[in-house]
Amino acid sequence: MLRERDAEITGTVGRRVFIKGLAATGALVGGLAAGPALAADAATTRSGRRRPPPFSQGWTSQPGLFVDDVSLPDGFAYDVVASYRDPIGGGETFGYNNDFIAYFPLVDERGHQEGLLWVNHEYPDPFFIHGNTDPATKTPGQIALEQYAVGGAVIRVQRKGDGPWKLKRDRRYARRITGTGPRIRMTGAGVGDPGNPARWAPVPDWTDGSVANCAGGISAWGTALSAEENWADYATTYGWGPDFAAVNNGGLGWVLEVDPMDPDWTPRKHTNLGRLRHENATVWAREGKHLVVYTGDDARDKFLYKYVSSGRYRRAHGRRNSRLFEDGQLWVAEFAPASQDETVRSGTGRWHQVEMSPSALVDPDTWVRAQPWFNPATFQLNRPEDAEIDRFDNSLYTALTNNTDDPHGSIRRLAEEGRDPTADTFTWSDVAVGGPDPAQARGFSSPDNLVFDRLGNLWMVTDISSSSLNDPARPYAYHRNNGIFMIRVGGPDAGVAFRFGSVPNEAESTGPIWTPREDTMFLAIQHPGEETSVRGGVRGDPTTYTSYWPHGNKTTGENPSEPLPSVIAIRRS
Amino acid sequence: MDDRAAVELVRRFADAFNAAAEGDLAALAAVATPTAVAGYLVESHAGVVAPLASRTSVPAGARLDVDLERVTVPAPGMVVAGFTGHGFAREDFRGDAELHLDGKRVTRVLFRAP
Repeated sequence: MLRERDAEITGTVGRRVFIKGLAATGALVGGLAAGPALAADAATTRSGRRRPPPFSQGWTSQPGLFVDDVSLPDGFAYDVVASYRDPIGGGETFGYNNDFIAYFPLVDERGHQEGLLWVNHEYPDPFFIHGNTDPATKTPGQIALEQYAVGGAVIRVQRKGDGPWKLKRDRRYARRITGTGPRIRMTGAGVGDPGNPARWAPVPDWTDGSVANCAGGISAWGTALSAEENWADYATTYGWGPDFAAVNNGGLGWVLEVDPMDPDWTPRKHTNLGRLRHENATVWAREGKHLVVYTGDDARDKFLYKYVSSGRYRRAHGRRNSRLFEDGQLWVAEFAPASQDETVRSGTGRWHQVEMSPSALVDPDTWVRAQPWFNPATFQLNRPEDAEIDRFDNSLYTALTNNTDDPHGSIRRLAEEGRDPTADTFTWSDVAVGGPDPAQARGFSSPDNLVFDRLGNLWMVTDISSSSLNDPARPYAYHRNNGIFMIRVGGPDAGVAFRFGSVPNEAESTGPIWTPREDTMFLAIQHPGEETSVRGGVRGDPTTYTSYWPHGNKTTGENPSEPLPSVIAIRRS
Repeated sequence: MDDRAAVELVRRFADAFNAAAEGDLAALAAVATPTAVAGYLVESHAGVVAPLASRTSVPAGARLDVDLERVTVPAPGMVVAGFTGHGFAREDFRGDAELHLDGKRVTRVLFRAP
């Protein structure tokens, strides 16, 4: 029986204790797909109340499914917590294409689980939002609907006892950040000095709103970080126009910081992390140490960066630690393979300083490529997506989702020298490599968002393009719909991805995050049925939609209805 | 449509696209129906469908390159070719162009990327 004190592992407890805890549960015994299901073992709290066993136990690897639903192992269920257009409180509604999620627990005196979710809303789908898919003919009203649909949201969620998680309309916390507001303060060296031509940059002191909010991070002082990824596309692709670009573009392409608990705290964007297609902002903070933030530039052949603050993190400083973003150094990673043999996927690496000037921070990719030390072969990556830090050894796991010559992607581990994230050098290896494994009826492609559980298992969700899913002519047919995976990072099954579930037609799942007890995983189901508009779907005729989720199921024909991006809560049933 | 005809169609489509990008959108009439549309199946372009013969689908100065070594006919009335470019903001946008045909003319082109 695993007791709470054994399972609750903090960042200060080492791997030795972690393994002891695992041994108590038998979790290191065998592989999920190789043998019978591990016995699920409920934990007991100090008060004697039983808790469900960890998510990593009690199931076998699932087959990939082409089914218009969230499919999970027996014994698990999901609640739809918030969908597009749901009222969240204060007259606001939930946005489109939910992505990154951060959970902030609230104290509930009645013993219910309750918390706030910060949720990114990455991009609009004009077909489902208002029906006009041609950027050239959109009305101002249609553009306004799209601008309201993106950005982020703070919502309040609650679970009573063992019941379902539900959205709780709220006036105190619930709010939206949209593509046009509120006012956001810009910080850091990228803002530049308008009085000094040598340090001028097209970045204002203030900006309005946020777009393209992909993944993100959670700071140690309780704020949410939201990464603006495909920020450059809105004026043209979505027809928001040159006026939007002229007014807003200097304020886009950064990492946004929001305090979900305090609507009065002014959000800010931190230019010291550079302006790029930010996938994420993964924070490492330890008492008395420099703050470290890793961020990937999610485009083909782009780079992995880290930011190291000049000042040191102090827990007692609370939210004032946000100032650590305002003075520090940005670095870019170089990966040297151990061999010229392309099958060798490991080596050494080093971090190179990026000039902390406005011009370099506004376009670090161009600046890096102009340096004498730049070598495409050792810097360029296969679209660096999310990254997570293994709290047991401070190593970083980053998802390299795919590239033209690498359709399936991999997960790369960086071990900083001396387990110190501020180090200048590191070693690296690809610990999980994508692609089908027909013999085992498993495999994954296009890894994207990551999260560790407290037992040290790495959970990963995939993002195979909708247009490539289930196409027999594409290399992803084996995968069926996008999936949810658990990967062992140690032991005999290290690197093996066990499939936990599949998501609805044409959707990707994003933003996996645990409650503190880890009895619930919140997950965002993004863009179900997104091919509808280009495959001849007729707005208003749900039978022409390529997904009916969450209120119907295209596969079974049940209840043809509009597909809605939604946040779900996965729990034991 | 046999493979040779498919390759020729893709070549003509790219030529017409690039001619339209350099000047007259009417150049597309040689390979596409007047009501042909372009759609995008790539993150950040989701749900965008616009007339092919428009500056939305063919921005001025755009350049579409196709890989004639990678032309397939996966189903009757459909030709797929590898492509790079097209003039949108995303510089790394490359993947497959899926041409849907009405006889020998394009009615819909879907640009999709993994």
